[in-house]
Amino acid sequence: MGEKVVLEALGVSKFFYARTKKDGKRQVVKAVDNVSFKVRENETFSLVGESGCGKSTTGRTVMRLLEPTEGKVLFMGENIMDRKGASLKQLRRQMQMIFQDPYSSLNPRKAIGRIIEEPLEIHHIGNASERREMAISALKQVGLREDQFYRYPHEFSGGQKQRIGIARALILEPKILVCDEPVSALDVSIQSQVLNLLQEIKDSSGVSLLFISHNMSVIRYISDRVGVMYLGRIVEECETARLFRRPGHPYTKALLSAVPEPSPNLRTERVELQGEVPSPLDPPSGCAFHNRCAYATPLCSAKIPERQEVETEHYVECHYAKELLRVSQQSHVLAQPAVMGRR
Amino acid sequence: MAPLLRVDGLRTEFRTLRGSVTAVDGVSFEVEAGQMFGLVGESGCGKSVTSQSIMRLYDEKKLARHSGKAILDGEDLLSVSQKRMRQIRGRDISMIFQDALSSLNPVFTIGWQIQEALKMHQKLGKRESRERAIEMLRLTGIPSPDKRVDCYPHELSGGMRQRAMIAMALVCTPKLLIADEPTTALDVTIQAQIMEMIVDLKDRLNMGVLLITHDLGVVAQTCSRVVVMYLGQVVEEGDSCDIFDNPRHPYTIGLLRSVPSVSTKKGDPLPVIQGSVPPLDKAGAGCRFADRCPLADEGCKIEPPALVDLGGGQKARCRKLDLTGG
Ligand SMILES: Nc1ncnc2c1ncn2[C@@H]1O[C@H](COP(=O)(O)OP(=O)(O)OP(=O)(O)O)[C@@H](O)[C@H]1O
Ligand SMILES: Nc1ncnc2c1ncn2[C@@H]1O[C@H](COP(=O)(O)OP(=O)(O)OP(=O)(O)O)[C@@H](O)[C@H]1O
Ligand code: SF4
Ligand SMILES: [Mg+2]
Ligand SMILES: [Mg+2]
Repeated sequence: MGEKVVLEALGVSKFFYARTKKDGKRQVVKAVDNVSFKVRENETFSLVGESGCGKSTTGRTVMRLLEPTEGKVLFMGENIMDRKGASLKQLRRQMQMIFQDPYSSLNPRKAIGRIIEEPLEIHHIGNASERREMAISALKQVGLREDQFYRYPHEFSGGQKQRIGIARALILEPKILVCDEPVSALDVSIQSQVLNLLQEIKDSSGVSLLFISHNMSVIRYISDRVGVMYLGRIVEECETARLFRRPGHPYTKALLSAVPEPSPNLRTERVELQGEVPSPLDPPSGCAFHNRCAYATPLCSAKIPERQEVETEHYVECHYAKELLRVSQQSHVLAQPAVMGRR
Repeated sequence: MAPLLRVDGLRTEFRTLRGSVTAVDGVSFEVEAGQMFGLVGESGCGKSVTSQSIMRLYDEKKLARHSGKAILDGEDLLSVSQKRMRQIRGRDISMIFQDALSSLNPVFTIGWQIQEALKMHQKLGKRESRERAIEMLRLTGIPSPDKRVDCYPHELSGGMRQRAMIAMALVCTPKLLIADEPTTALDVTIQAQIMEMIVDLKDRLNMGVLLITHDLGVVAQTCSRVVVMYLGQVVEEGDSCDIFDNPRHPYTIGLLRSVPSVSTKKGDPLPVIQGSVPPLDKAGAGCRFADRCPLADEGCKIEPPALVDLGGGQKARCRKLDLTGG
């Protein structure tokens, strides 16, 4: 992992505006709210959080597939917010994306070899036979065979389709690959194959990954650093092992404790979360987590907590982050009596 | 004591345009009252077909043919009339699904729907049945149930709808609840709440629960007994502690290893199961797992293995069990 920063988000926000049915008033959804993070060279930085917290919107905004409402994005140190036309296209070459749904992200009427070649055509790279050569080598790199070049997507399983998507994204040799829930639609035995492939590619090509997932075990395995999102904000950011060992934000603690470990002997002592995720149309005042937080005080509902660096490169948005970190000396995973009863 | 549900040699064949396929092939297991029983396996292995066959939900004239037995409290569900089955469904067995929206009717309030489910099997006055609906909503942990009872499904969050569906399924206090991926569409924090609620209700009502899921973590944390399926067959069965600590079938072993867990070292490649699940009609004559199995030999490809009793209630369908022990 290098020190060089490939991608940096600086105070990025993305708001959506919706009209309510009832009174026709304009309402705002702060899908991404003042988010900052860095992805370093050959690093996997992950965004994790529950449905609707803004992971995909963040990914799409930093790739400039969506225009941010505020903030800026730096790619290799250069502000990319004003890029247009040819210069934006040039940028796209270096930032590629793979998606959750391997079924709908491939054109069913094209042979997979042509699907993989397509980005080369769009960017006018090589002649027809060179493009074919490159596509074949990409095909092999993701574990498929040359003779499958002229097969159609429906002839492949979910895991194989995801490999095809990865081959297509990699053929332009991007600096960064944004992976939005790349294994969520796959069975566990296939999921591990695809995770290994992504890890292998990262090791051999030096690409950086911005990895998006709601699955904590996957995040723990694949990431170097993690940003935990809640209602549009990164509430905690930390190196992976430390985050799982000693989370600083009450939400991270609750999230980690809810993950069912695949072993009956490992019982997680669950941190109860009160209530439900609030509507993004009407987020709570102050700290957006205060209505569910076991540690909340009147300060929490009054004032938005600032991002503080509680340890080197460990950021938490919570008024009591330092105090909480001190008490959470140990892992939340303890072999304790069952909280979720059995039998 | 006789088990609450005894499934014995269940086989379900579908007539399709390309001939018939056997989606479930000789599945047997027993669920006891008050027990949480897990049915796990990857997509397409026949978990849902097993449960829907027990519930007799397929069109038996055109689509499905069953054989074997599914005995609930002494009565074979596979041989009773559809009329009798309608009495049993909802009263003795209830089912909940992954997608609450498709089992709740959008044009009626949830209270009305719960009362309707109740009316099918019990005669109660209007007041009483409304009280009972509110009580069920309270039991499933819905806050201010006396207000929510008049909500329409779309006015509730995903987790809340799942609770409402469970309230509807349990209003007649069935003996057996079949839960088919009840939390798969939900966030982990909500999943944990819902699973805790199901475990709690199971204990209170002394109900048997057949939990169908692909999530090994959920099974490990909630079920006392587990069946692992692969391509329509049971490949391993046992108490959770045995299955998770000492799995014997190569498929179960591979499946458990391939989930990244606390003990997985970062940077090491994850263990994988080679290849992918073949289509049902491509399964070979021998062991159905043979072409993906690291232990398979020529014999495995020819000879279908039997389910071997390993003692202590654990069974595995494999010819190489001498290599997987310890
Ligand atoms: N085009 C849009 N118009 C209006 N609101 C949107 C739009 N896209 C996303 N949102 C809202 O923004 C919020 C964040 O959505 P986003 O898809 O980024 O979440 P996510 O973390 O990726 O969730 P998931 O895990 O379900 O994919 C949600 O409340 C969503 O409803
Ligand atoms: N109505 C049907 N007609 C023909 N084949 C069917 C029908 N329903 C299911 N099948 C087949 O039976 C097999 C088992 O399907 P089933 O739905 O039970 O899988 P499952 O284990 O529940 O998977 P999932 O985890 O994806 O829900 C599959 O191969 C499926 O294609
Ligand atoms: S700021 Fe307050 S409410 Fe927010 S997480 Fe910290 S303690 Fe809880
Ligand atoms: Mg998303
Ligand atoms: Mg199913």
